[in-house]
Amino acid sequence: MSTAWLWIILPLVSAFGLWFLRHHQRLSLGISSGLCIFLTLAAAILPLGNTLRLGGWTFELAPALTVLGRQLRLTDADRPLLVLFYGLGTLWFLGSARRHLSPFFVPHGLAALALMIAAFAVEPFIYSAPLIELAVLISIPALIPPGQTSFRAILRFITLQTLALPLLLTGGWMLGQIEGVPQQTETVLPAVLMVGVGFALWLAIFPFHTWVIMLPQDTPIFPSGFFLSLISTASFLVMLDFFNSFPWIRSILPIGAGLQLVGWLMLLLAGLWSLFMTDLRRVLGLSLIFDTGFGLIALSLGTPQGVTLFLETLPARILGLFLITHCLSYLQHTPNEALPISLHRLAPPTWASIGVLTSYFSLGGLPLLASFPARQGILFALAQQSLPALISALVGNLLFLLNGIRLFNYLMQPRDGTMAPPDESLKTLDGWLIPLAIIGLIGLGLLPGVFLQPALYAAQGFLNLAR
Amino acid sequence: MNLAWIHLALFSLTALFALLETDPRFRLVAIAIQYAVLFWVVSTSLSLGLALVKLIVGWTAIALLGASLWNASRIRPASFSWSQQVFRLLSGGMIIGLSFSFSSSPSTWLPVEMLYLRSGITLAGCGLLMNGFSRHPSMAILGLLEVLSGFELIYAFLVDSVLMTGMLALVTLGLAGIGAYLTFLNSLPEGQR
Repeated sequence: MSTAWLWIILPLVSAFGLWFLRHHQRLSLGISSGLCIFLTLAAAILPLGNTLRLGGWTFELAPALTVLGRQLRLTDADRPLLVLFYGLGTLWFLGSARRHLSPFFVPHGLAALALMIAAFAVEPFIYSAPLIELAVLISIPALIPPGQTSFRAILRFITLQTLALPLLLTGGWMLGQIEGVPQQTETVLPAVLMVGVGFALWLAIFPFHTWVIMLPQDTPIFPSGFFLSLISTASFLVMLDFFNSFPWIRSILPIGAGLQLVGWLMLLLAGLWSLFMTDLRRVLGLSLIFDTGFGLIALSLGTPQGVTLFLETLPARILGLFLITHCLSYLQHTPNEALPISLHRLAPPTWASIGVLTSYFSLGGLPLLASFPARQGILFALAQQSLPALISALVGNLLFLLNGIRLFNYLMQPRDGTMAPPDESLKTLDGWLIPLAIIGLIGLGLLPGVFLQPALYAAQGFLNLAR
Repeated sequence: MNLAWIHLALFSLTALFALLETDPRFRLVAIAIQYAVLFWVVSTSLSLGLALVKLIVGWTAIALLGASLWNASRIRPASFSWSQQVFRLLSGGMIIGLSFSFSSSPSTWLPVEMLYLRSGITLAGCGLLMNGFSRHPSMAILGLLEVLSGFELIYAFLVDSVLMTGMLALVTLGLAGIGAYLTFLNSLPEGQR
């Protein structure tokens, strides 16, 4: 049996089956969460590519599955990433209990998850472009709630993601042709530009970032948070795979400098915009833009340490985005999700508002929280390369954290006149995920070594970059 | 006369017509004709079977969007003012002009005949304009389909992979399906949404 059967085809087939059970919310949630837990544990325990003996039975998890001449390859080095993705699925599916989401959320979410795994498993890398596009298209019905009247954000999301497809395929093809003779710089430049714009569209890099801000405002926060974190994380990994496939590009073109410039620009923009935020739903998009900026700076370093640091930030990113989304959907008491969430909703302190602040500060890189150890490493490495870039990144980071203090101020403000809604977060199982995620973010900050080993192991999957 | 010129003329005319036409049904017909011309062109570089896949998938996508528009009783031909039409015509003209402004350098990166490269750029550019000008979901998606058909025209000269053709077919059908779904939701009366 191939690894792709277990971690790609099984979830896809299950998603197809769950589509018919979509109106039985509890059943479909139970099955999807159970499957994600099973796949997370399997990825954590089973060595891929080896023979397993269970009693009298022998299994071999072959790393590659060939489909029409192309390969879906999941090796042992991919295990940490599989744990990460299916862990993400477990969190989000468990968190979606007792929410009035689109009945398509669970089956389409599971299918998108499997397609994203396929996107970073497929070889050659250009085949990941249509896979991610398919995942984007699958996500649309799950993003649209009953009664939705405005499709502005959805259409922008589809348009920008679809435009990435031709650019990545054409640029990827051109690079594939010149791989043997990388001296042809006049051909490398347009190809890299095409691929670069394609990745910028996928990752919502400035100036293609608007949909990231609009999506949580025009669609329900919970599914939009899920798909935003899924698509951006998978796109980052595909980008890493791209750099791994064409390592010679860095020696011809100043890719590192370009990534660094875009990275600190995104940090500055996210930091500045956050100060003018009045709708709490924007915090999700801004946090994602901010985190993407740091991810780009980590990859711009062009060192094995940069790759490891980037991979080390992923668990904090996923947990932080989950917590912020989960808490925001708790704070949105009104059934009309089109209404903005005022910053005053943070008061009085509840588990949900404390969760928003904790995840915000964690994504902002505050010391003792989950993102800090890797961020510190990124900033130290950046200091050795470019002082202006470091100063710009620090200014962006400072502005982002200043907004955190502003949010904290709202949290502590007493409500006047109106009665605060009772804190019902801990009355449900999914509500318990808030304190657990807060503990997780603090724990990761206090024990930074926990994810260092898996990150080093996952970096082996990107051998050309990790050398 | 070179056949590529005829193809370019057909692509440009249908693209401009789809951009200027106010009735969505005629726009769909124009894009359906584009898919037929696309089949004509790509059958020279791909196998007939793969070219047929592109035609059938394209027409199915148009049929999906057409059926959703047919059911959406609330959609009416848009009314554009004289100045809007002139603006659209100028924008479309600029795209065609832009495709001709390229020197022969792109053909050194991509082994595609220059006229087909121009055709692809015209389709993609006009599709992008249609997408940007449209408020109705089905027309915005139709614009994206036109962008993709422009890309597929060029890509067919580069890659003849069955897997890639199949994946692009799925993307085309997926886009049309989403367009139809959004049109359906948009057409429901207030109480049923």
